[in-house]
Amino acid sequence: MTDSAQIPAVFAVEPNPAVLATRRWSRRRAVLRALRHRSLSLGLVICTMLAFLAFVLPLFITVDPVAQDPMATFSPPTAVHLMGTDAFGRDLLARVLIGARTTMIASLSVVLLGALAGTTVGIVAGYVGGAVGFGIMRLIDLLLAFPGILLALTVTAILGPGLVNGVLAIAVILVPVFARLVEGATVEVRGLPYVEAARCAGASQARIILRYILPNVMSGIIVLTTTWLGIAALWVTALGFIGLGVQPPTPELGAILNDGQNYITLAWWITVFPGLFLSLFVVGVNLVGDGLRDELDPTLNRG
Amino acid sequence: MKTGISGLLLVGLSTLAISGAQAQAPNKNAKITVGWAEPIDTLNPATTGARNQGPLLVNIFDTLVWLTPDFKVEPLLATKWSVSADGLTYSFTLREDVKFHDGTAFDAESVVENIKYITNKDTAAKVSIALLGPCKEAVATGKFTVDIKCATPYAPLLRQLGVPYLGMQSPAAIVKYGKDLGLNPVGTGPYSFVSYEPNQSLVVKRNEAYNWNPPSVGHKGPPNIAEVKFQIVTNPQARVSQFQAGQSQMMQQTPGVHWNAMQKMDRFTAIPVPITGLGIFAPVNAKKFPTDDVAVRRAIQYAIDKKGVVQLAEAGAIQPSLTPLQPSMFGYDKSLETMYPYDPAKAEATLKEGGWTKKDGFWEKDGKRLSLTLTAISTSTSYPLLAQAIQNYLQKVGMEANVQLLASPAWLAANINGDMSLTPLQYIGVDPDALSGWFTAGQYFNWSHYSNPKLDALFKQGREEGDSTKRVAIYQELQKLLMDEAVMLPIRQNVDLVMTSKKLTGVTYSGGGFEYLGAASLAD
Repeated sequence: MTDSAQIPAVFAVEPNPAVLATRRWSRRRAVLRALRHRSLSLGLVICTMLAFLAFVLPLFITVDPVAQDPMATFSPPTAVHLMGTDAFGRDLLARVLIGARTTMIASLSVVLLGALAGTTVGIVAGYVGGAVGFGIMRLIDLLLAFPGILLALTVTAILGPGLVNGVLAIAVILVPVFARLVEGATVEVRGLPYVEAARCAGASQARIILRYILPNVMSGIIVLTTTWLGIAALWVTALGFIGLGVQPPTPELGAILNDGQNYITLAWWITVFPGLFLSLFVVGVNLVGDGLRDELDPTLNRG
Repeated sequence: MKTGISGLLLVGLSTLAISGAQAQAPNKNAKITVGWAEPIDTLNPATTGARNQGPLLVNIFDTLVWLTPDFKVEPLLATKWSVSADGLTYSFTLREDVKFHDGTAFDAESVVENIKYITNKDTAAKVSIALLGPCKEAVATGKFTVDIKCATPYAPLLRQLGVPYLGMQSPAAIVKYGKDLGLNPVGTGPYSFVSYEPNQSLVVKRNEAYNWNPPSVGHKGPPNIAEVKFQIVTNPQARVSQFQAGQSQMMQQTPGVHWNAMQKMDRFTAIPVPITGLGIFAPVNAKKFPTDDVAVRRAIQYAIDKKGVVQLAEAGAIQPSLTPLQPSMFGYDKSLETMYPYDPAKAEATLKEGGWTKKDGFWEKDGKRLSLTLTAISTSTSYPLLAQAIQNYLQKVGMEANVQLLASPAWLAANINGDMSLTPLQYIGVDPDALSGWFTAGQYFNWSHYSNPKLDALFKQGREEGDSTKRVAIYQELQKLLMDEAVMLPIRQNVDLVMTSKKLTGVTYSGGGFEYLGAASLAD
């Protein structure tokens, strides 16, 4: 045990200042190149702007997003209510911004949870291989064959409605997506000489997985995380729309869209503003995802 | 046979006469589309459990008697009736010229077959069997005279025989279609069945032989409308858009905001159809903390501004409900309207008297916070809105209230297991006895989980009392007890907001709130 712990130290390269500098420089060059990528930078601008609206602006809003006012129902956008009010006379600006924050946090949690669970399952299945790996992956296939939203509905039916349960439900859909990608990549990397070398050097299983395999499948995970973030946002709002996500009166984009759907010809603002926010967010995230794929995915041949 | 031929001749003549006088005569070829708000569970009146099936049934089936909107009982399939002195036997004399849509003649034996069908265990009847109460036997005393016999006196029976769920079905069809009867409705009503596409539409056509109209609907003979298509459009906005675009001539369940906006346009006629019964109300769970404390239940009554609730949830288009029974109903007690005025200060005082203390803005007792669970069916348009408006008022007086939107199976389970504090819902009825299903121990609808021997005794008295003045007094005492115990939170009146095109006239409804198109006409 003591031996194996010492050996990697022998293999480790002494940090050479020149090498470090080159590495730092090449990383900066990668960032610059990425920023020149048009859709990536446009996506980043959109996402930053929306994040500012949803996370920073609400700190300065004093209006209570759940305060009802029977005297001010269905007010169109005015100087007092910039986005108008809904059927309960609640200020739509406060509701949309705070609701967007809820939606964004929820969709981020969904992909992070899904990625974490899926990656763990995928790496273990890929690294262990054999009958165990095969068994795990067939279970994952089973999950993948299930229609996503139906799976989410089943999970909320069991756990009950609510934001946390909704996030868990949708995260479950993402597990097989990540598991499959990571398993494939792991199997590919597993037999490469440098992994063999690490194993010969006596590195522990955990170290091999974390230090040698994970970094090499990471780019795929990052790309997948961003591309699925937009879809996760749509699913989160879908659950809110059918009333199984956030419970009223807490604002959430899907729930607000549902509030407005019955009055769309009379009070367009209840539907249009949250709809616009959601569309922009999904477009922004997808642009970032596309850009990242171009930049990080080594299998793509860029001209 | 002979009558059949002369009947045909008559129809032929009348059509001729009308085509001769085109100018002022109603359009006999008119086809109309009605925007319908809910899917259809079954077209079998005996087995349906849904309020929204009633209006469809009243156009296809006739009942023994017709109930006017103000609850007068008129002849329909029965021309005369009498009640025996002991209140146990109802004797009816039937019309002799009535035929079902399939040609079967209607007689006393048909009534007997219908009662047998409803009371047969295999039928699994819902509303219909409840409406019969203890009167589960019919005996033909002649070709066109029939007795309905009750095990115990049952005063509500006559009125309830006028509700469409007790519509008379063709005995031949009952035998022929068996389990598929709900897809092949055969009655004696003004319209006969043409086709039904689940979740899409129901089409009915004029019953050319119809001439036994209820006297008060203001029309004699077959309907002027040739065909009616009830198109199922569950999304309220889509229903409104379809109607405003002229693709339907009538729609039901108009959302309050649209209702208000459309009344300002002169192209439409607004017909608010009052649905009687218990209105929209919430049973308050008397078994679960904290509503097991009567002080909390009373405080809830004071805390909620019902005017504000209907303003928020229905744009003020519907009146609030203040007593257990709906106005216009037999047994309605106006004096109860002022029992719980909107008074937040009184709500807080009631809690204080009940031993609750306010801490950090919320009430608590023995270290437990006063926290209420308001459930609502997530797919409904109206209930989630009502729940949120009520939540708003409860929070204002420091009662924590959480709204939970549930799909209907989960919602039902929560009601039956008592996992909620209160939940908005509707219950329809034409007799005050409708309350007994909700507040008697052991009943399916006892979702308030409340029972009281005194109340049970009053319900029994009310059912058996033949004298209507005494009956009214019993139901008033009973409602006062319910309100005093505060196990029922009346919320708003139950009204179907019906809009029709100005061109469509003569749309009316039977007592209880069932839209009837037998007297309608469409102008060119």
